[in-house]
Amino acid sequence: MKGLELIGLEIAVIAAGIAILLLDLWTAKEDKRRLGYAAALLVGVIFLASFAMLFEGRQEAFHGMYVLDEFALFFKRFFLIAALLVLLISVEFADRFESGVAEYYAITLFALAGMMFAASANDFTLLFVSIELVAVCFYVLVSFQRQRDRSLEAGVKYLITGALSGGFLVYGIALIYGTAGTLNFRELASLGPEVLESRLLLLGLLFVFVGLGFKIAVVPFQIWVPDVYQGAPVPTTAFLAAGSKGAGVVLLARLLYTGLRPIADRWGPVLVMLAMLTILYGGLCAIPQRNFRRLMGYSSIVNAGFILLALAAGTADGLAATLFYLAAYLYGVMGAFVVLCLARCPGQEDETCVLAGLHHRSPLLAATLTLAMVSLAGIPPAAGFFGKFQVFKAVIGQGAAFPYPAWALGVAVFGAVVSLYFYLNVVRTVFWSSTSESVAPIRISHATRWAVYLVIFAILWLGILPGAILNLAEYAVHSMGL
Amino acid sequence: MAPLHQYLLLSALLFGIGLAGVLTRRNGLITLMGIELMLNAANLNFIAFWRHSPNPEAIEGVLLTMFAIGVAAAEVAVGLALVIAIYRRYRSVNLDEVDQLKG
Amino acid sequence: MQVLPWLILLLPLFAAVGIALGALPAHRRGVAARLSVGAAGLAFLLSVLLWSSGTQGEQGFLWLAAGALKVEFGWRLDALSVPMLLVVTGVGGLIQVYSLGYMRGDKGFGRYFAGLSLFTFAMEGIVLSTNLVQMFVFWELVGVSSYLLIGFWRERPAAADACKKAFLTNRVGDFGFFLGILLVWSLLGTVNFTEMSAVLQRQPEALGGLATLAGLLVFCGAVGKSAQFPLHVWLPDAMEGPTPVSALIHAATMVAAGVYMLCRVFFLLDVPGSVALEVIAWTGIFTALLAGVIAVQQDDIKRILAYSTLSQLGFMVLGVGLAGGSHDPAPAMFHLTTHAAFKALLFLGAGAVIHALHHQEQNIWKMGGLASKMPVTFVTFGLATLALCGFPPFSGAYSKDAILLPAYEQGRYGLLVLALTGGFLTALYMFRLVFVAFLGPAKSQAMDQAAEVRGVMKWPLILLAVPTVLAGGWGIEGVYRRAFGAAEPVEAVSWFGQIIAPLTHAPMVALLAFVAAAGGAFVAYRLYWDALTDPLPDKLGTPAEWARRRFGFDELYARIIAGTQDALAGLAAAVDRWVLAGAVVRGGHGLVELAGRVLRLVQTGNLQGYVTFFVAGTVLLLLFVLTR
Repeated sequence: MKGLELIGLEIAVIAAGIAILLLDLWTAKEDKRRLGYAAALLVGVIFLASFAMLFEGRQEAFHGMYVLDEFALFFKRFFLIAALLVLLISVEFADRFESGVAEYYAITLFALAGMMFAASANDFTLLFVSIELVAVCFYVLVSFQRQRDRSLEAGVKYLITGALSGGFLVYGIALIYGTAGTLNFRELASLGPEVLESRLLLLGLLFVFVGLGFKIAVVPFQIWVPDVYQGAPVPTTAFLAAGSKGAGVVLLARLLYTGLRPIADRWGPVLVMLAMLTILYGGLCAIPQRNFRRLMGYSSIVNAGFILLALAAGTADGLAATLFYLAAYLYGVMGAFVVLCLARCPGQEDETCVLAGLHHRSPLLAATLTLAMVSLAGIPPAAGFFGKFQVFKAVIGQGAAFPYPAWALGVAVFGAVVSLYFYLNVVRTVFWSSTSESVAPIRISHATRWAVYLVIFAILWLGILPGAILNLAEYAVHSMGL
Repeated sequence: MAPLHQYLLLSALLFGIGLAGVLTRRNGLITLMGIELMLNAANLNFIAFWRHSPNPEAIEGVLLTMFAIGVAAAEVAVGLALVIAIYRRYRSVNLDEVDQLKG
Repeated sequence: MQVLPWLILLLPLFAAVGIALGALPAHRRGVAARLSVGAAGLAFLLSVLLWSSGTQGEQGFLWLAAGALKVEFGWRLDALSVPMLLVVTGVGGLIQVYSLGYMRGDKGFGRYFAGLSLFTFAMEGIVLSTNLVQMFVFWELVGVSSYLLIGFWRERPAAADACKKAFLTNRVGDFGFFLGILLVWSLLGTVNFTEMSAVLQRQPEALGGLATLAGLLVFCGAVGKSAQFPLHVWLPDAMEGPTPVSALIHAATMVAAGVYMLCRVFFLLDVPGSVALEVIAWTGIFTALLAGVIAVQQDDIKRILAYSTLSQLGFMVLGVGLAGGSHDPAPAMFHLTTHAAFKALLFLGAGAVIHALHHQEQNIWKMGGLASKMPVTFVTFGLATLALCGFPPFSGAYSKDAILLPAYEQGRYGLLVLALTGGFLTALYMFRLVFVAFLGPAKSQAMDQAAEVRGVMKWPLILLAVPTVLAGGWGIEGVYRRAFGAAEPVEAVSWFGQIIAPLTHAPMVALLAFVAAAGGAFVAYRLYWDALTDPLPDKLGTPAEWARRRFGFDELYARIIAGTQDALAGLAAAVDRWVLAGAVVRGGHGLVELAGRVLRLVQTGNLQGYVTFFVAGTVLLLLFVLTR
């Protein structure tokens, strides 16, 4: 069957997950931690294999439900890299799980498979299935430290709000199905504006947006973010921030830019509105925040706002900006969480000691964290600068055609300046705070060291020579027919 | 066969009841039930739309219902496990008491 | 010759990287010093070579192509960038040599020189840029390196606050610049300087109704970097860094970047229908006067110099703003160049004083009698003071005259009078400083042990004194003028001809400027000669107190943002948001902080509250979309 070869990457990921579960049976207890390296290795191989998947343009399978194009491949690779880094840092984290380390790796892989399906979803059915696959995996991953109150609390909060958003999503899809008579994005686009403008359909679309907005952490569906980021195990948080958000973005992008292109003037203003609220909310809440993990949660919200702003442009430029922004964001987030994972403070829940005096404990990690913050703050020559640059360019390039251009730019500048403040605060704590506690140097394993190098390299590469990834993003966008 | 709008009203009602349950009940189990109701409301919609659609050979609606049921089962399985874990630690399934993370 | 600019640009970077990789520990300080000073010296020599070879032109490679946006990375050599390169590498190099003595024994010696090299690299990048985006990247790099250097003594909380304040305030301006770049790009379709100016030459109306906006957004960048009102607050605090760093920031790099950039993109500002230059001129003169008044009542030797820099930057920006009539901002660049020499000298002199007092004392009212103890420092400092005040035949007189001249020629007597007032104030505060710190009676015991600095710290002072005294006759303005389209003057003017040029050319302006400066010096003499305490607060009362408290700008920002908004705050509402960063740094709970705290109350931790928020948000969203 033709479809099966197209979903080869996803099948490989699922097989890898099952393989890890099987290997677990024959692995001695003290070696189970190392299964994470095996999982990372497999993901790495699949990542390389994705470049062998060169193919003759856009292909569809399963009655147009699944589509494989450069756009999908871009995101699949994005998710694979994210999972690779997450798996590597999970190995460092593994001793904090009471049991079930191998399951943790396997479920991470299953979530990855869900994200990769999401990258190819061209139909509400696959959208729903992939998003729920990701969600259910994350319910487990978030509450994986069952002995910790906070992990449980984060899990239950994520589950209830997530399931609620899922309820809206499914109900919305039902309404779309009823009014449009189809679940395929392409067919939706061919229906013409009069059907697309009908109230019931709009209601359905909005409900779908509730489900996607939840993933991306858009106001007003952002409420879970800080709590869950704080409570969940660090690798899970990293994966949530990069992967889960990315899955929401790719689904939203595909839906908006394929299915809903005819009514772009309808969704553009709504998106801009929400983007502004999101940036303002995240930025303002982050200012008084002293807990680093919660801060990363609010940072995630701010970044969601910027991504939404780029998407709202409705142009090829805007979509390319989204892709690049996400790529830059991925490494910034990973840089931050790798440090959080390694610089542990036993017995301390507020984790201030992670940052304070980090440069005494490990100059490498301090440098990584600084670079990550610089990148997230959007300062050249780090990757984040070009991310923001692309977003601003997409907005200004649209000129007056962009909804509320002056307001949007004002809020974006505000968000950028405010976030600068709180990212720099982190850097300041790393270098300028006095530490009275023990300054035991941090030991970093070889694999993690390489992960750190990869992150540093990627941040600088995307910042200094952004051309290659930009071309890739533009190529991906062109494959969407823009 | 009952007219379409009756199904839609019923499903909207179910959705509303489920939502109200999530909003007003503190008990974790009842919250989960509320969410189940919302999912089932959607399922009812799918089936109704499918039955009244001009070409019932296209089984997309039914297909999605099957998926939704499966997903709901998975969600509840995880949800119940979590509620049990919460109960073990807090001796209560009252979700209001789980509020350490804030600010 | 094509490889020279690359070398000049990359040498300091190599030095910085080299030090960072291998020479940070204290026992490798020799390596660090040699790398950094060597790179700076070599870069200067190569720049001289470049200058004498007369190479002009542009070279670069395509760095980034995103859709319609093509950005090159390269260098551009013309009559604007090459002299500026000499200033950056020359003055910067001398400051590095001086630092060898000043920073001896500091445990962060290697880190310090790595920072200096990075700073030099970033500044050279700005000077050599071929386009706005490249310039912006280096622009930010200057911000980053200044952050590292101002906060060099990171164990001091004041330094940590100051570097953050500098960085954040700058970033506020930079975002304006950033938007300006994107706006210009979207209007002109290119960011390359040559191409932009060509487009504007073909169709001067290309910027259309947005000309003023574009100009002002770009100017925002200069307001931040060159510390113009209302973003001037960072510069005085920036003296928390080591004194040579202050010299570098105030003279050759950083603040010079803003004025240089304005001259570089002058063709964007000088378009029909734009009133940007008008705004620039008034911002400049306002900053000049404000800073001048504040400087008169400061007691910290470095702070006085810092406000004097602000004031002189105001003059330069005024020079750019006045160039609309002549289409030629060369006077601003002229003043920038002379100022780089004598301001570096002043700061290094102040550093010598502080060093001689074992880094204990910076208050001029505790000093006195230093002239006899430190003769070289005194003489060079005095020469620089005369230059800064604008007494002929010292360099500052000519560059200041050049700025005043257009105001006189264009009949803008209001600006002229204000600028002359600025000149008066300059002489007043500078002579106050000299009389009190160097000439008056010793006011504390510490003065007894003060002794002349030696060796590597003395020679930079002497070398910098040369351009301070002579640069007025070197025809610098004529060089810059070539960058703005003017042909070289036909008859070669002798050095002496240059020196007396103001008298033959526009005696009125020269005379007025001289009278203003002499008046300032005279008033300072009457007030401060042999004074033990400052007589001004008694004589003037409240105004002096205001000036002493810097008109409370820092507190004002803090207070406005703290939410106690009075009538003035309503006016300054726009300003307040811009400067919020500065105030938040100072520990005030800003409006933003307040809003954040309020918003965080939403995050109660209660799941049911979350669900309610979630559903309410959904309903609002539905209403927003479906009722439109």
